[in-house]
Amino acid sequence: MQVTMKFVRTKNEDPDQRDSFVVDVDPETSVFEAMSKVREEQDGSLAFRGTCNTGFCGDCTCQANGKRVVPCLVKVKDSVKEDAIEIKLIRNVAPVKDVLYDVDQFMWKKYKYFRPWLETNGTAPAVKDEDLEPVRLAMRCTVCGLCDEGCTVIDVDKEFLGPMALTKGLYRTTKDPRDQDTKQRFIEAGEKKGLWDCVHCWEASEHCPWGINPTHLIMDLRDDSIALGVKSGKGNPMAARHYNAFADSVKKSGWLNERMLASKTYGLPPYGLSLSGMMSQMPIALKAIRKGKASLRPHKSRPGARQIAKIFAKVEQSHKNKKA
Amino acid sequence: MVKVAFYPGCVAKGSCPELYTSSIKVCEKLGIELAELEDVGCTGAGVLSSEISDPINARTLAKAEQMGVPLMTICSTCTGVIALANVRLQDPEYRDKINREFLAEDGLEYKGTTEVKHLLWVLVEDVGLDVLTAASTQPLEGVKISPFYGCYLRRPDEAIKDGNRKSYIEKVTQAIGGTNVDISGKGKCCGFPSLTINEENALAMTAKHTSEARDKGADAMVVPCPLCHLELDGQQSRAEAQEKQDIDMPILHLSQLVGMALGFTPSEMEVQRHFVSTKNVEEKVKSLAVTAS
Amino acid sequence: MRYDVVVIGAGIAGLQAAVEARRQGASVAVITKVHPLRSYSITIQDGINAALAQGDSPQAHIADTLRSGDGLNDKSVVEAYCAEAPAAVRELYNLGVPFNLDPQGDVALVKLQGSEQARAAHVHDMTGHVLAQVLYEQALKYEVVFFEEWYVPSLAVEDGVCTGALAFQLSTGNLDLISGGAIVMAAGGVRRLYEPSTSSTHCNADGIGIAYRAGAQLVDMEMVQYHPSIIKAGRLAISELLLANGAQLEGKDGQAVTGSAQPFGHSLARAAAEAIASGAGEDGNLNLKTSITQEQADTTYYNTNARLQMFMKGNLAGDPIPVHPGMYRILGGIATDASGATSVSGLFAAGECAGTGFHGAGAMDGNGLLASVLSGHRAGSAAANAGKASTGEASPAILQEHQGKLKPLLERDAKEGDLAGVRSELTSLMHEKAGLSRDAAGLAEAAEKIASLKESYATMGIPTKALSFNYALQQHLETRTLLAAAEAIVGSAEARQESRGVHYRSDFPDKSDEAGSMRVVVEQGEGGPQVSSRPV
Ligand SMILES: Cc1cc2nc3c(=O)[nH]c(=O)nc-3n(C[C@H](O)[C@H](O)[C@H](O)COP(=O)(O)OP(=O)(O)OC[C@H]3O[C@@H](n4cnc5c(N)ncnc54)[C@H](O)[C@@H]3O)c2cc1C
Ligand code: SF4
Repeated sequence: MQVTMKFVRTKNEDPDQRDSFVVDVDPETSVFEAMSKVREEQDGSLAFRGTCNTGFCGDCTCQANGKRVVPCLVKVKDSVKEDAIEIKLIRNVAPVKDVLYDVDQFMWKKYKYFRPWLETNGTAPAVKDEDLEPVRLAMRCTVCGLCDEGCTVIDVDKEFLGPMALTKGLYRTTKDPRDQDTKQRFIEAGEKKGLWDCVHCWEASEHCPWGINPTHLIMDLRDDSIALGVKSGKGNPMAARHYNAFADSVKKSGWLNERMLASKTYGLPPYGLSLSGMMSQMPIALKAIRKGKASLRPHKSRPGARQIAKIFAKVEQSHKNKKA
Repeated sequence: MVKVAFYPGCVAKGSCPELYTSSIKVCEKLGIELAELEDVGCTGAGVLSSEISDPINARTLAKAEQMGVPLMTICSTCTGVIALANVRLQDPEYRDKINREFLAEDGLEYKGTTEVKHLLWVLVEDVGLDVLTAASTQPLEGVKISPFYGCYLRRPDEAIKDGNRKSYIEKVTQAIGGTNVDISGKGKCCGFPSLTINEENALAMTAKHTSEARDKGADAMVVPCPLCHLELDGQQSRAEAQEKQDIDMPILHLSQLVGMALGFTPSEMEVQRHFVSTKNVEEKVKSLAVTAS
Repeated sequence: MRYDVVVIGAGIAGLQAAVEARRQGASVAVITKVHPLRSYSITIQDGINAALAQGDSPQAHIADTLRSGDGLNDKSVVEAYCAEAPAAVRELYNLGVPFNLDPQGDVALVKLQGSEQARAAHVHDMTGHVLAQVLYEQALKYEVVFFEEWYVPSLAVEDGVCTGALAFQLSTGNLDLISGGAIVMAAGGVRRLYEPSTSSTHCNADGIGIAYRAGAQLVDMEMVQYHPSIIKAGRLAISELLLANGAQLEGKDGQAVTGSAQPFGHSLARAAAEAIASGAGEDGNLNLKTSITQEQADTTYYNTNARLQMFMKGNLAGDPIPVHPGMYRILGGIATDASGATSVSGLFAAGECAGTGFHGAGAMDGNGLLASVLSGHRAGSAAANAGKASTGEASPAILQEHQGKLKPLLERDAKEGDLAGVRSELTSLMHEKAGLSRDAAGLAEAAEKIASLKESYATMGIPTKALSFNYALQQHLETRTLLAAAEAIVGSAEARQESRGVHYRSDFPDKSDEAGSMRVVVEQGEGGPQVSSRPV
């Protein structure tokens, strides 16, 4: 069939550039093949990536008619609208030329942050097949970037290490029973922009074409990190304080004491006297009292608080055993 | 008449008392019978390790199971976290382990049958949109509402179960006569989970969503989650300061919005507790009330 | 820029060579036109052979390999690789490859076609995908220097010694010279010379073409292997693991189509092509039927099945899958000795572009990955020794000379579509005349046609003048390597006047003892390929 392929050509300075091409393609073949056909037959200056054509290399990610896709996985007939397909850069990336973007900054640098190779000390622990299944899951990742593309945090903070790197860098290594450096990895991952900056919005899981569920994996990583007693990196104390304050509150009364949570996290009276905490939180706290949002009445325990405290005690004991 | 085991969550009983009050009133008016669960713990809100929160939530689910009715929350985060725990607890082996290690000594057992629902789902699925329209003595004609789901009422699929649920807020606002204003970030994070950990990011998210709603002409945003409210309403002035712009976007709880259509006054819905003034909405609603009478 | 070892290509072979050379203390740079984890190797689904099972032995592995190779293997290489395979697979496991394990916790082994034993280690249906990742991880660990998205058009050869590689960065278009004490060519295969074929747009015979043009000898170039079951959308090759587990090809009326010789996949591909030609197909396809369970489809075959669902809403467990045969790999290439050394001093070769003699006239399933790993290992090791001992550096004059050649190319008048025309003629020509079935007349016609395509190619320029990401320039250079490989394949196929392994001549349908004792060697001559032979 005849399809008009339109390209949104960002950062292309060529004054003669064309952005619309009619190609004859088999509707059963992929959008990526249609893109390649245009480049090979009509305009060799078109810039986009992509090599394998079967969704293994993850290099061709773009928007096709407004959908964020790996275009080699989408058939022409499923994408075409009014005989046309518009190809455009994905969001959250720095354009280089046309549909080609700075993938190093977007993903590879972040991946490398996690020292994504195993650290072994020569002894091979006994491993069961199912122990390696999480590793296989992470390695299924094709670095297509659709999770980072849809990431709520990267949307506002380009430096956030993001679901792809957390999956293929951190999850892949820490879940591998052969790795000997897990705790140190969690300490490094706990720095700002890392593991604790994720807001668990589940976007990543929704976007991954391969069912890898990066958000799940990130939550799983947090559980593992907590179990090893690492609740954030050394330079990122707020994450750990927040966790501890939250846990203390629920442990004590069965539910959340928001006043205590804020005070402990920010180091406010009666738990501390942090000036920056006061500056940022006091106006809000006073307003809350004025508006009747924060009550001054004491926080009462839930009826089941004792049972809940027992749950904490048991899990914390198992973490101690794990560490020892 | 639909009966539910009511799990209000910590925030509705803490910093968002207006959510609790308005929800009780709305449910009463619509015939949703609330049996409030007292002897239950915090869901963990996605903060606590699921090793801790799964047993706590299994306990809650078991208590609702004993009552033989669905568990209803008025907080998306509670819904999401309990629902995900519930998904994991469908695995008989895992459920047995949690029962054995944590619940048995208190004579409890979770059998895996409790259904978890948010008030929003109950409104659409159990009360019904027709009933809602009929009960709207004061339809919100001309009020432009920007739905903001946040994360947990849109994802993950295994917790949401029915894809239609991803557009329920729009259906409700329509049923009560309002006009929807769509924003691109309606299913994104409000910023709250990052507030203490990376404040800059949290405030940037808040500014992004609220200013988009303002730019698109919304009178107010409506949220089904008190954490979104704490963030979008409570932190809006700080987001304005960080991003150097005026936003002034009123944020309503779902229950407050529905309540006003059902004939409650804005002050009965306790909108005066909000940080961002809701005056413009109040005035619109008042003028509607005048024309209606 | 000078490194002890410069590796061209970052697929499994190139990465393995780089890691090994680093381990031996050499400074190493890898030049690759795509990011390492975008190389073709990452699409390989199937396993890697090693005699690890109880009751298996390197001798049995050798015997099976020789049977597939049909008399043309280099026996010493086969013996060496089969003996090294178990240690290599164990090492990969220790580096972090999450091979599927059996209930005892040992590497689980699958019996692939052609093997008498369960011998292939695998990671579900993504073995190459995972191997490439683990080797890349190691390359990062050993701080290999990567020139990513740099394209190599030519080698620097001075007085018969290879001293470096010319390379330009795709983002700037600037040509540079990267010197090496030793160079390892690991630039992959030739799939874009044939249509139909498997996926990947980057396999343009670069390694073979560049080395040939630099004077290296090629060997066994007539040995082009086909895959029996490729689906049209995505050109996905359906995993050989499935064929090993009882998947069957059927015609449209349910008639079974089966292979009769080794390598099994290729013989099945030929049978399939014949069946389709005689009308058994539907839309040019046969049906692949598997007997796997839904659970297997969702775990072991996840990568294949998920793609099938996306491409055709099909399901491996249950649905018949429409497939056709297509070219997927070449067995010959740059002639090397057992260490990976080529006929050009200072130049080594590994992976699919290397003609090591391991496969002979037919590659057994599971031996391809093994060859990439071991040829990479050996070439990396030999290159580290040679590179550390050498002090040579390529002379800057070479860079100037090449810059001088590139310039007129960009200045020449050119028309969009000309190159694509050459390439599409070439791909169908190769499939029809130098594919599954060949004969003297067809090959002569092909040789003539290639010569004339070369002539018209020589007048073609590059329509796009921009320097940054000038795909047209790359395409121009890749057409040159494709044409070089095409003439070498056709010349070799003409010379082998018999049928053996994957090489089938309808005019010489039988094996000949005389031809079977020789391997065909090609070199670039003045007017075209210079074909000779050497004893097996
Ligand atoms: C679907 C499929 C299944 C297969 N299954 C198997 C199997 O089960 N077992 C098996 O053993 N084999 C299998 N093969 C064969 C296998 O693909 C190859 O043998 C293997 O990929 C070769 O690896 P390599 O490292 O030599 O090259 P590649 O992985 O192709 O890497 C080539 C590298 O060279 C670089 N490069 C190329 N040209 C240039 C240039 N001019 N300048 C700079 N860099 C350049 C590229 O960037 C790339 O990094 C299969 C092939 C296919 C298609
Ligand atoms: S985790 Fe999924 S979405 Fe993210 S890069 Fe990997 S394959 Fe793509």
